[in-house]
Amino acid sequence: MKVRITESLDIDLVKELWCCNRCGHELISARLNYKEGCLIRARHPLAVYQPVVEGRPYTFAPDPDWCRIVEFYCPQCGVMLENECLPPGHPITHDIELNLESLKLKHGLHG
Amino acid sequence: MSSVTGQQQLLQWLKPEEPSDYERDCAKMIEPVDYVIYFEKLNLILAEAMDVLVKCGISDMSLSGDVSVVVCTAEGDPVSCNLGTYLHVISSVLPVKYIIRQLRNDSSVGIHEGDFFFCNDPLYGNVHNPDQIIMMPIFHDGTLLAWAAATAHTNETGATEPGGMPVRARSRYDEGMHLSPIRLGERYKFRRDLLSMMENFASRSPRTFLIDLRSRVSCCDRVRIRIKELVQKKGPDFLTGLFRYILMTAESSARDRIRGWNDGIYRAVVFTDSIGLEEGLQRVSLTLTKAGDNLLFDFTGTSPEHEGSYHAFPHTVVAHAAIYLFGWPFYDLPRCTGTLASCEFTFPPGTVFSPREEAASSNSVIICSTVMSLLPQCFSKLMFDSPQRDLVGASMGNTGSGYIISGTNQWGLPETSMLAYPLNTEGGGGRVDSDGVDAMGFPWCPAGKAPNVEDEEHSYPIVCVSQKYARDSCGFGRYCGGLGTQFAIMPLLVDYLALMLVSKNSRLHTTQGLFGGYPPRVIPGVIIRNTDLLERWASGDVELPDDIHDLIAKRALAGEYCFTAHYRPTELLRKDDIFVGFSSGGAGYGDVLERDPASVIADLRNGKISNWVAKHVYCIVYDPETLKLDLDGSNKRREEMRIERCQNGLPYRHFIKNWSKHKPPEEILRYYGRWPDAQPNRNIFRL
Ligand SMILES: [Zn+2]
Repeated sequence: MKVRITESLDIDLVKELWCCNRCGHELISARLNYKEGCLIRARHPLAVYQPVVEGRPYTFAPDPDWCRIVEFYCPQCGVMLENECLPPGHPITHDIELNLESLKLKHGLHG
Repeated sequence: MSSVTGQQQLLQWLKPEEPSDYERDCAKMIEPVDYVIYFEKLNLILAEAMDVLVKCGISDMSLSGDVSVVVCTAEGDPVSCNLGTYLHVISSVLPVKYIIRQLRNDSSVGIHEGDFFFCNDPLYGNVHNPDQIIMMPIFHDGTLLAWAAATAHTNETGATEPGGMPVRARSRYDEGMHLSPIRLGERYKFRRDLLSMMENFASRSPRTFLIDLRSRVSCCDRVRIRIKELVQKKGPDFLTGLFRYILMTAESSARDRIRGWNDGIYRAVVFTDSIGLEEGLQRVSLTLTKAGDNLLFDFTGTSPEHEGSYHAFPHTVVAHAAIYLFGWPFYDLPRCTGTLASCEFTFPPGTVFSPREEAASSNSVIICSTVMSLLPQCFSKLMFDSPQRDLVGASMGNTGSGYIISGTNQWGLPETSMLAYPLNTEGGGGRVDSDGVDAMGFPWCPAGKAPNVEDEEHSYPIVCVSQKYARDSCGFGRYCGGLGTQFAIMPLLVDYLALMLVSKNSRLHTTQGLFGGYPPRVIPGVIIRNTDLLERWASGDVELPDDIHDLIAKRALAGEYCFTAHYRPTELLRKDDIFVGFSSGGAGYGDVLERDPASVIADLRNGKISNWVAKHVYCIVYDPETLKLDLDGSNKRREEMRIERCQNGLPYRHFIKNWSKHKPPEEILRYYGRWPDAQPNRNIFRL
């Protein structure tokens, strides 16, 4: 039994797994950070933002010394499940830590 | 400082007061139908009072919606409001409760019919000292029944820089007028002695200051007159019962809604790149715990206080949380302390949200924009699997392009103002089912309005060179953020103006995208010195680009092009100098490769995005001349991009092993705290 938790993440309540909502790929235990089941890439800001003016640092594109775009992909279908703009080396956020017992009760599963 | 109220005390005052037996008895007499009819009656009274406030006031910030009028119980709990901004629903509570607790029974002050009080000190509950409040008690047969409170942001406080939000302030002693709650009027008249004192504090812009002050008093008085009419018709017990019924209904409705969301812990971090005084990386961290019908907001992990001006006190953080809470998850519940009774807030000492009392805080709204970015992150994850899924969405731009001009205006009068157009035209965030709204408004003030060019040129000694949407300014995604705007002005009819930029987000953006959407681009501070624009216009030159991006990229005007951070301390803008500003677009929602290719073509057609973005970010294939979409080509290209992601992405442990070796340069981390956990790591001295 799958419950949709975000735009592109499901939780399989019986198997207790995070799954990709797009392709069904089983990412990792729903008791862990789903990001541990993703493929991850840190991208330079210039991959997403085109500078309006030449030279550094004030170009309209974020400064690579200050931040990188860390992207989390489904390993099977390549959908971007989430991204974070983080200073280089900054820890990844464990953004969703659900109380699974409570979630199961809510959706009519007991234990 | 004597009689200053502690930060924890103020947080406790945000809880609704325990009802007295009398209030409980009165509430029992209220039928649900009374509640529906007379809650709406209160709303109409406040709508009329807001009309008085906005029509009598003259500052750009009143027009922009940085205003509110609130009616409170006799003990200071707000029960209804008209906006403006939800900020002041929270900030109105605290000075009123201070007066009730500290001044009511003091024989040298007391509270009497015909009094009105003033406060603008954040240590007593204001958001920052430009936000100034008038509070008026409402009596019936000698008994205190209610309060009216009207707040508006006024752009002058007599600080070290003009405009009420001095970016270079190092402590509260640089910020001008801070008045704890004082009785400014008696027997419905201003006290002339205090009025003169305040006028002198605001002598850079006394006319605006005094007119806005009177508009607040007129607004409160209108509430007082209408509430008294209501009491004459229905009786004081009815009003007291109605107020308590509203507080109780709000609390139980909010708790019911919270119970429907998934129990768990939700975390988000955002970053900012300036402390006002100079550039520096700071982190703001939120851990939101939802259990049963309670919400705990924990800001542990937020960077430490510093020597600059971008701080806020805890109640100000709650006020910014209220902008989101009243605007989205509880949009249909009363804007009162009852609705937030289930929310607890904790702050470890010594963060930018819990600094020592002498810290500068007149730019609290800038650092608190982080709160307006963190809450949509956490609540979107909290509400997705709930009946409130339609409220899920990425955050607005939340940059706050606060551009202040000051000087002698074209009428020969001293004038200081914050230009409202950039503030009021930030893009909305991408939603669960739709794009964000272009130039949606002022993130702090959902009901504000952006002035048009004619208003701005009439009010100030400027000519608007450009004022319109800014291409590529939205966060990209399956549902993209709304566009922000471009804005360029030049002094006209005067030789110079003082200019100050209160802002941030030129190195990185404070918002995050949602569910794979990207945050919007960043914004530099741009001034073109000593241009030939007037000469070119006079000679009938029609070749000049009408888009500021093209103008600055091609250096289409003669002059010196200066690109700096998006905060700029006070400097002169002379004749022929052009100041270029931008408002931020909203953050994007969902994977860019899932955006409907036809929508990308539409974005190109209406100038929302450039070809570069269509090609490199959305990865569609089309004819750049005719904008005809190649759907098969686009699908193939996007499939290649997904394969490339899988080929270049690393498994978690492998990624972390490489990633954790990186660290930003030391000069960026001066104000961050200890890397990476942002714990305080140095002593702060303020003189
Ligand atoms: Zn997948």
